[in-house]
Amino acid sequence: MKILVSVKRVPDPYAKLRLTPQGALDTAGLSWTMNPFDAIALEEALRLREKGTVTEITVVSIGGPETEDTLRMALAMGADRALCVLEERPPDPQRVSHLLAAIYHREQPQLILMGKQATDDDANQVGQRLAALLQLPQATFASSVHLASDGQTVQVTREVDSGREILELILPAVITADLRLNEPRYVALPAILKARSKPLQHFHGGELVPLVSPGFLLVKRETPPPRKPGRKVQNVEELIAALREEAKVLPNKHT
Amino acid sequence: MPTRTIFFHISGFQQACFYILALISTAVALFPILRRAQIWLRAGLSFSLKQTLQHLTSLAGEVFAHRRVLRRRYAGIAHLLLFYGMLVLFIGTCIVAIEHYGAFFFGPHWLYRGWFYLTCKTTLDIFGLALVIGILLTLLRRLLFRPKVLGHTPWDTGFLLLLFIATLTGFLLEGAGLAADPSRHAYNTYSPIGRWFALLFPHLSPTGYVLIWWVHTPLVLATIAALPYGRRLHLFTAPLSILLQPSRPMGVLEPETMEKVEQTGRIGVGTLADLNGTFLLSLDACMECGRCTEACPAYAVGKPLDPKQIVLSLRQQMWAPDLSETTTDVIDDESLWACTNCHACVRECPAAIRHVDLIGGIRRYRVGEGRLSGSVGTMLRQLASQKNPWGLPPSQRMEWAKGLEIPLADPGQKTDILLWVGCAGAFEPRAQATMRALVSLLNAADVRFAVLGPQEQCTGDPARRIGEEFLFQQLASENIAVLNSIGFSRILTACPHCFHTLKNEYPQFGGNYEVLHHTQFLQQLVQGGRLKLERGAQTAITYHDPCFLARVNGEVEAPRALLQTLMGHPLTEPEHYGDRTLCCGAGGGRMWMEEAGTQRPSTRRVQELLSTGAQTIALSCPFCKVMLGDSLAISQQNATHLADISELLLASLINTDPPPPQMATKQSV
Amino acid sequence: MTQWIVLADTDGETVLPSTLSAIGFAQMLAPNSFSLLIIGGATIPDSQELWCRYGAEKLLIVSLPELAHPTADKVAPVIAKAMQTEGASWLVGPASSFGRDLLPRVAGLLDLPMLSEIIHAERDEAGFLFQRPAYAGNLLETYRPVANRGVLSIRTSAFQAETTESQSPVETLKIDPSELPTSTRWIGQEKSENKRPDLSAARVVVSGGRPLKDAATFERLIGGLADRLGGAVGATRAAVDSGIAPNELQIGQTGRVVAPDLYIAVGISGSVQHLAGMKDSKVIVAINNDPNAPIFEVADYGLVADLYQAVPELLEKL
Repeated sequence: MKILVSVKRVPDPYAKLRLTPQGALDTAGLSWTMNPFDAIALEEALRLREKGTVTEITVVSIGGPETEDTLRMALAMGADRALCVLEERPPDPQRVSHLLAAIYHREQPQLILMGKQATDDDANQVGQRLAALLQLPQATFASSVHLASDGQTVQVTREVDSGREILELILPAVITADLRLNEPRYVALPAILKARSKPLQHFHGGELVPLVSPGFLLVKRETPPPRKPGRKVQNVEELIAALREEAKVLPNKHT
Repeated sequence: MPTRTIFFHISGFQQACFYILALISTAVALFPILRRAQIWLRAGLSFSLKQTLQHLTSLAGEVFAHRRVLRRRYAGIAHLLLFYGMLVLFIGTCIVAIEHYGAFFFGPHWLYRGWFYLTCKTTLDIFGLALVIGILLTLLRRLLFRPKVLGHTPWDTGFLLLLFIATLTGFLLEGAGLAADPSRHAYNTYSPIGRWFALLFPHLSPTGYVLIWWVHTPLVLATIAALPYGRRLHLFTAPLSILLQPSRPMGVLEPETMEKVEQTGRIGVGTLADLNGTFLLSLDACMECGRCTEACPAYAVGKPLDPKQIVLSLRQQMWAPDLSETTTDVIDDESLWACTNCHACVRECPAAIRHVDLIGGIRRYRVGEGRLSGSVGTMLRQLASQKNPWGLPPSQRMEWAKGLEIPLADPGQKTDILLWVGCAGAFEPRAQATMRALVSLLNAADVRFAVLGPQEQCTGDPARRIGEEFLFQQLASENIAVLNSIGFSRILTACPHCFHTLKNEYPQFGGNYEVLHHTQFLQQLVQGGRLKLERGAQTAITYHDPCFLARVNGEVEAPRALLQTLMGHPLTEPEHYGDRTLCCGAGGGRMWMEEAGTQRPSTRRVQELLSTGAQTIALSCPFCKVMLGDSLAISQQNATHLADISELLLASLINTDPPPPQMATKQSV
Repeated sequence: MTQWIVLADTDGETVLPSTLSAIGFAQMLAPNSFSLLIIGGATIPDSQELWCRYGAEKLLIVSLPELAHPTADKVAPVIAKAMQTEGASWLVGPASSFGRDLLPRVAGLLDLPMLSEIIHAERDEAGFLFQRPAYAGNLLETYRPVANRGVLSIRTSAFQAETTESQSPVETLKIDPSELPTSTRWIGQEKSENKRPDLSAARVVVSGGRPLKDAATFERLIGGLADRLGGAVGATRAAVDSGIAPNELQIGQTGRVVAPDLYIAVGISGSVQHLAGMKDSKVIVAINNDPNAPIFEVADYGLVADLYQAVPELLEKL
């Protein structure tokens, strides 16, 4: 059984981000890594393979040439082959889903895994869009995945606001990974060196899917107002007032 | 003239038979030794005359003075008797051989006669008795007390009985010899034990003597043949292991280069082929005493980590024809990651086995194979990204010093002390308090110091102990580049882990610095009169020695000197103190691994410290402060509190005037 | 003419309060030109009573037994059908787990652009401007739609809805159940204890430390406050070790890492291990009787008080 895992190269989630005077992300000195949620998805694919029915794990990533680094990391974690879809500019979730659909048609995997969202845009769209395009069932925010022994269905536990929900999907299907799914293995240099010999194929995004203009245009990027230094409140009433009026974090109530 | 006839009544033909049997028994004895030696040599036994000469003192101390063995009184004394009993009897046999073969050149009785002979006889008798007592004491312990860690087997009993009977028949033979040779009766008093056995044979014929000879001698040959099998191989391997042990200090791991990893595709210890001959020799030196396991704090709180089992499960595989076919996977993950690197096992081991180095090597291998997951993986990612294990922004590294004016190290200006804050000192509230107290003391003593500030990165200790060697090397090289670009005399740190890594491991990468732990420096200041303390102002203090300071680096005096000054009298020590200290459980990266509530080494240690009745537990390590602090809080003990030594000193500081003019000392620049 | 459809957040049985933010958004940008689409099982039509008072041009109700457990595969085509039937160009929904699962699927079905997690919106001469957080809230991005259509998910705390005097008319949308896909089967659910949200998804987390004496007190005060705020419960390692809170509630370096909108730390001193688990919370409140507790360094609002007085008072006054 083949699994396709989509991974994205994102800025280091721990890094402090800065903007250039033009309002773009200041990439000087910025380190990049695999989207942690995608790493969780890949880890799950690896564990499914360790359990038995999976024969091949292919990873795909979309971006510029530096995307190869992330794919090499994925191969070091244990994926078998990597596909690099080159794009001139970072595609929006709509385009990503179309590109992945094209890859799906080439690869024909039984299961597509990816993180529920990427830590750069936090869009949380691609998995669901892709499932819709391919008319496949979806299970998002997965916290546990069990493949049936006959390889025909998969049972997924999803993290939802009210607790957890358990769904059974008929394969092929799309699953997006929640933080609670697993903790990915740590990849150290020796594994990366060993993975150099694994196959990595390149595609041009423009040849897979014709370019169309995105549906939303970025007008402005700004840093949020700096966290005001904390202050002490004198009593409970003051606290409640501050939370309600200033911070606006108290939950809505029916008026 | 006092002497005796060698091979008394033993005919030439019988002697020939004896030599044939001796040859066989020697061959049987030599076989495992040579076979093992072949394995060690093939794996690369490093021999340096200089190092070996340095270790001669260790050898003398361990083998002849039984320094570590005697730490257990009963077993130590029993072993002392066994050792010296066998050694002296062996020397006795050698003397007899020298006499016998030397006689061909110098004539009979050229050596073994006169007062020399009589001295030998008495000595041999006494040590023969010592051997017998030693065997009996050992059998008593093994069969009656049955300590579990020992792993005593029926073969062990068999050997002890064989040795016992061989020795006993030796006395019988001696008695028979005294009885059969009237010329020796005059000197019976010089054989205090043998003469009593002689009474058993009032009318002994030569045939009788020969019979007894042929009972005793094969037993001795059998003993020799059996000697290197089982745990008794240590008779040969332990002294060698002590002599050839690596010179690098305890707690220092060997680096591995990226080039080697690129060539071999592997790092660390995945099979026995990844160990060098010296290490394999040390594994062969294990006599299965189990003291390492007894001392292990993880084992004591119910974790599966069993240092002795780790050694044995690897040693078992050493007979494999191809060592690269063996595996370290026999050690399960839970055991491997339970180690806190406290080095109690290494301290106890009489055979100089470095269990922690082995565990470190296996961890390196598993990390390299991608077999590390869990919260500690997150910590490594945070460490790689933000240069501290908590993933906090480096820009916040000086938050602890808000309100204090602390100079930042400047490449243009040389300072005396480079104060290494450490990640705990920078980010952990309890350690920050220690830092602030230390700075107050330094200012009171008018010490010229500076800090690296946000440039300071984790020394890399957690990465190295967990097995992420290349992350450690990266952090270390980056730190060394910064340190080498600024001028200072010494580095001062309040954290034993930073202390150990900076002092003992940074030289591996070109960082050679004089490093002081804050208790050492503070003691220098107090002694030099630059810090004035109100003596005897504090009471009821006990001290918890940190593993990496007391055991791994041998510093136990400076903190005690400081506390004694504060109290005006010596400390009340807990049961395990000094280099026998009990680990708090944070080392080996365990600070960042989850622990079941019932399996906390710190809980056990807190109980021990509380039972001293002290009101204050003095500390000198930020991680001990966190671990013991949490356990103390849970124990709901409100009377006792924890404090770092610097905080205690600050409370009794009476420096108000500037210090008296000092002559140029080593401290000032 | 309705241009906007607002999707109600539902669990199949009833409409959930998180819908209010999406309605508030629509009230602001498209007053009187939005329909409220309510999809669910047999009991869902009962919701009209309450939800017809929010100024929607009409309520569209789809009620089918197959939708009692509204999985995305079934609900998305229903929404797509509603969009087509109504000729709507915008679909707006709450960024709840239901909305996040569903809305992008609809966007995929209709090939519409989508912007998620909107926290702020305005209108200028050139059209709409939508603002959303990126990089875990470290940056704010403002977008303009290229065409007058798309799908939007709205942060559930970002907008307030107003009630109206008038009531919206109710329409039932007919869907043929045999056309619904069958590749997904709902098997079951695990509701958190006491119906509290899970720590990683919760918007509000109330955490307690060791000063809470015992498990009963912990549940009463911390659990009580969490329930009042609809939040989840967390604990420090010391509390877990003392046995006053279960292990899975531990927040910190080796436990759970959370980033809620509101984190209330009760009786917690603030060791670096605990901070590592909650430092990314949007608003941090600390209640502790020690004014020097390190937690006050990171708290946005700090109350130096005895928790045994402050927490009951909070419960009373909230």
